[in-house]
Amino acid sequence: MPRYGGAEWYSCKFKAERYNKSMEQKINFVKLLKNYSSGWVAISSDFSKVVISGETLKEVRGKAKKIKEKLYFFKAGETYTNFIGEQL
Amino acid sequence: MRVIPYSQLPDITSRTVLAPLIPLTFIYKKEEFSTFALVDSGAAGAVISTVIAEELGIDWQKIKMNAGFSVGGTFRSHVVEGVEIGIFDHAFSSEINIIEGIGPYKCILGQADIFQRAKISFEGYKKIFSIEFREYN
Repeated sequence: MPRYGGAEWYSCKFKAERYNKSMEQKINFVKLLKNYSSGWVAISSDFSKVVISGETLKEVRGKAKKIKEKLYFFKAGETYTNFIGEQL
Repeated sequence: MRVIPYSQLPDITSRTVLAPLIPLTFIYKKEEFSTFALVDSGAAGAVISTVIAEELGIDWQKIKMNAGFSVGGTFRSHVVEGVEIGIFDHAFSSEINIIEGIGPYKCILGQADIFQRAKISFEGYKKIFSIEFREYN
């Protein structure tokens, strides 16, 4: 059985931590919603693009039924500062 | 453990807003709705708008109304139980507060739900947070 100490032990610990952590992709709504000033959008499951857009959520959800991919729905054109309560 | 960068949101000014958002799926009876929730350690429990509630087929107007207080003032809420919340490869059932008059996109997870299910660490200086779900035998 291998025995580790000092730098070796830290190296193993670091590798194990790296293995156990997985960094998720950053979701950039600034880029995603750039061309949408109102309505709702359906975002792809890899969060890279808007797949469907429409004036109402009902409309977007209706169009989404024809797509098998999992989609995430979000409102465009909002004051998102309200989300976290930041001072203007 | 998953490390999640804060999401960039557009602001009414030219600035951007960074917020700890997480993708999730709500399931209520036969309805399913996927969106993004703010992970808020200061929130007592999960919150959704009436718009999201309606997409989940919840007739919120028939649910008893409660009055609540927050830093933003008073609000009217309706509590619905048994909503399934799916986050990455974990799922759990929770009660959710449907709040009247808030932004239609608003969805928040708080102390009564996600913080009971996972260890969450915020590293604001790195603009990341990490989430590690508890393992149940």
